[in-house]
Amino acid sequence: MKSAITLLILSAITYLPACVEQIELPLESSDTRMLVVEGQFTSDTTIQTIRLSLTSDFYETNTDPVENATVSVTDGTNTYLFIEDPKIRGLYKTPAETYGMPGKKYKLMISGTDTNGDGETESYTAEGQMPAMSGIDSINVSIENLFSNDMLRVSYYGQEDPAPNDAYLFRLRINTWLVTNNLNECTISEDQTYNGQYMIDEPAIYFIQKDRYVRNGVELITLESCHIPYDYYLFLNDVRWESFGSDPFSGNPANIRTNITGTHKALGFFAAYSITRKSKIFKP
Amino acid sequence: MHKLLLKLLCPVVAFFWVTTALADPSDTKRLTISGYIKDASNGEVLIGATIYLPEQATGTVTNSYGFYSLSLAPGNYHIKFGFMGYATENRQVDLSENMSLNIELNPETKELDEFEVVAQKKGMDLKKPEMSAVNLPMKTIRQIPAMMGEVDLIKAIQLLPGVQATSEGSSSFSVRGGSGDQNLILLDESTVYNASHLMGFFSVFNNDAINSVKIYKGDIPTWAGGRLASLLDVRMKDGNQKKYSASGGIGILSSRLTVEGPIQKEKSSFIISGRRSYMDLFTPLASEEALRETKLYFYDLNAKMNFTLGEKDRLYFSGYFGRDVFDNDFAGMQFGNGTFTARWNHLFSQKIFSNLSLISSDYNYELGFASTESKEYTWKYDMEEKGVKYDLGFLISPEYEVKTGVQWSFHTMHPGTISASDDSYDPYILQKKKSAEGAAYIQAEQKIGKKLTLRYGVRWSLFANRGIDTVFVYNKQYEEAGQKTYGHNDYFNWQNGVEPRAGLSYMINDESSLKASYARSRQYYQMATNTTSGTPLDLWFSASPNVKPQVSDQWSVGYNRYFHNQQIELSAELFYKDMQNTIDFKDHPTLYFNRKLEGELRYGKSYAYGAEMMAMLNFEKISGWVSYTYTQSERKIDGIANGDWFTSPFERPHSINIVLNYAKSTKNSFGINWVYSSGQPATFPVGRMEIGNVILPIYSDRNTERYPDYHRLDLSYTHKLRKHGRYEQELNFSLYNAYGRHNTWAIRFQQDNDDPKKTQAQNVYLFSIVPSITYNFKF
Repeated sequence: MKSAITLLILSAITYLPACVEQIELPLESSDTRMLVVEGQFTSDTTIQTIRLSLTSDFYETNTDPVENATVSVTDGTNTYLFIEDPKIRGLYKTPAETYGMPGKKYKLMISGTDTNGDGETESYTAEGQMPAMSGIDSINVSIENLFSNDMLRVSYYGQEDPAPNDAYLFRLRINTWLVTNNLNECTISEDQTYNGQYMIDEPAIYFIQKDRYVRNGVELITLESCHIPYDYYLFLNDVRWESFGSDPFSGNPANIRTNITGTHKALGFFAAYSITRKSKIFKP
Repeated sequence: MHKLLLKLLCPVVAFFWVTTALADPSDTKRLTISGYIKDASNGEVLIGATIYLPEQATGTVTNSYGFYSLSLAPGNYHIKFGFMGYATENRQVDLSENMSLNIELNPETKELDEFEVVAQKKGMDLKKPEMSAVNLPMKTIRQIPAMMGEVDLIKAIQLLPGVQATSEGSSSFSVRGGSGDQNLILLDESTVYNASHLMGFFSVFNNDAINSVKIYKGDIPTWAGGRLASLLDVRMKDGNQKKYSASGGIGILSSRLTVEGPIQKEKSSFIISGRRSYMDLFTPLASEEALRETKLYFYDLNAKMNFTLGEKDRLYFSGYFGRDVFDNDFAGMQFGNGTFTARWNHLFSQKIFSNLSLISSDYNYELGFASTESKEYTWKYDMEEKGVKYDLGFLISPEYEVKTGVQWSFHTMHPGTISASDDSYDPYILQKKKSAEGAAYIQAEQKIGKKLTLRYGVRWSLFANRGIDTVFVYNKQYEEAGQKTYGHNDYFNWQNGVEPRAGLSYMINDESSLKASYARSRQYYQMATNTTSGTPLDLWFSASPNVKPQVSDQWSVGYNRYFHNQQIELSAELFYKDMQNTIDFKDHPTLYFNRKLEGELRYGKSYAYGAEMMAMLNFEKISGWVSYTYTQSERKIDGIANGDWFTSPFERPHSINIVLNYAKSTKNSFGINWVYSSGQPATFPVGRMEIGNVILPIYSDRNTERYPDYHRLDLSYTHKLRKHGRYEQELNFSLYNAYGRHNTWAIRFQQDNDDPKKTQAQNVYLFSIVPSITYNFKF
């Protein structure tokens, strides 16, 4: 419900007849590079991945990977080693069929890096607890005409966890294809307005254009409901805040929070979360 | 609490009693002349009209109700009654007993009279121990080039030194580095909480219904309070007491109509004034289907009635109601203010003027969002204030007057309810927040000799929260550490403070004076916004056990001088403002639907200082002003910018305003504005990172950069058409932003659509050249 209202606020206040032009705006640069961690450990039985990269000047077009690091995740009993993909530098992977357990706490450890080039190796850590599987019973899929466009609307039914401060990340697959393949296309939600209620036809994903994704008339629509830690929700909220860009309505720009600590200041987030999937054959 | 009140007020009252006795030892020998000054054409009272005795070089001005009173020794006096734009009335008065003298001034201006009025006004202004206050005549406001041709008093106020629009096109304004919610906006004494229509492009004030506008930039009189930065005092017209008349205007985006007339001739009158915009008439012509189905308009209505009940009593009822509507098949939003004021003026004697006001004000909005054809979510917000004020004015002598009064108001703020149309969820309801605010004040104005005039007074303000309420307790990390619950009508968190305010004026010679003032203000209500642009989604919150009242101390000194046969009035002021308990928000705060909103707040201190210079021009054909303002303003807030000082988001170090009107003939006039200001403070990226296929900025410290400088030229031409009997008409052509500068509304940093690895800076601007034509009429 809150995500729907958020969309409403955005649609209402951005109805200004604004014009946009590209400008040359010189920006300060920083000689110091920082480690950026994009790390998840999920309940899926799969190859778990962690990406390590470096910050760069704002107008640069390349993102430099952090190579040859030692990366592992431990739950205190088991330790999972992440090996760097030889083809995609900076991407570290576990063996197949690795999975996390809801309720367990996972700690990320990174060592052997030298992000600032001072010749000394650094180490970083972060940890997070995996929430329980989210309680989705079924989904509903429809095409809604919104703002004169046919939009795919995916909603769900299910019991929300009665504990406070639950948060969710929703992704959408059409057949096997993950269509919400960047963070801004996913939906995030937290349970303040609906804590502990049975969710009826609660919208999870909006604004996915029908013509772009639903092509063949009959598709398997899958909603991935990720029950995420609340601090990861706040991180994702920061990401959305900053990636939508600044305007006088959006408030002060600010750096995105992080849970990575270590030898030097680092950025990014490591989160452990559970994933529940529900699918439906959709014939528009 | 009562003991505290007595303790504070007793010495104050005793002081005023003693000074009153000392100030007017010959009171028994004096006689009083009093009355109302009105416009002869319509009976409208003239606020701030001058009553001047040239031989005695003394006088007074009418109050907010057009009333004046002068106590003089028996004798024969030559009295001049004047008001800008009106012919001066000269009266020879033989004062042998107390007398009532109502004066009507004729608005047919003659050149000589104009100079005479300026001369009288000069004497009053130079002597008045009032600083940082500007009374803008509606006639002047109507001559200023306006966006879309819609004359707007707030846009005119934004052209004064020390006042800035908080962002391009906004009706929100910043005074001396303060935020928009630090301005108290009163319409006939009722608070207007959101002064914007259409995202701020228009203000809620319909110029046809307004009598007078005065802004106090910090040196707020003791009868008002509750805000740190300014008081904008707007008074509605009373209505034509002599004949029925109508006026209006037809513009590109909106039209307006005002009807007024006597209910009982010379004794009572009414005025009704309405506006409606009609962008929605044009949206069906839009190329985009989504726009074609969209309704987007505002309307508002001002109404007022007044009744004269004999010589001593007058009743006034006035109200405002306005709505903005945005609606399409998918979403809808409505918002607006409502105000109502009932006032009773009573003269206990010719020297004692009283006013009792009952006041009501509310602001609310409602948003609806259709999730499917059958399911809709609604979000509702509302806030209201109901209060009573009682003011007494003791017009003891031309040298000494005292004002005193008490005020009390109840506030209810309902931060929000979300509900679904199909009852599939329990509504989400945020706790109603109730509170009460009161004040008592006393102020004197005293002339000592021919050169020195003093104003001194004190306001004592009081605040309490009121149950039912649940208040969260926070630890030093701003995390919840418990809750406290209060029962129905339980008053808690009593706050009070003394707010001394004083000013002086010292006449250097007949043409110039020095002034100084000090004012302390306390603010118990503020808005949860960390933006610089006004949105309809206001969320006001009060002081609480977690939120201390904001306090400001402002010192000002100034120099005023008239030049060139009084055709140029120069004023220069220096000010320093120190503020405690300044409120800001943590990075990425959650403001809406947050039960723990107070946990998102951060506290600290701030200051502002600067210089303002203004030359008012009043030549035969050219009028207006030229001003320059220099301001510095910084904040130091716990948890923001590492706890270091950082630039206030409202600081504009340099600003220049040129506002001129050239009356070529009685039929043709030209208006020109040129506005320049330093760009608003901004935070730009110094690096980037990539996460989840999204490029994200990394920032340096807050507000270390600035947007490009802002400047704009507006032009207007007004041509009066031939008069047909009573029917007067004119055409107004205006060009807003005449040279089409793309002034920055925001700078965005976005990923390139074609190459997502690339990032670019984008200038977002609202206006290029905006031409408009308006047809105005009156009969």
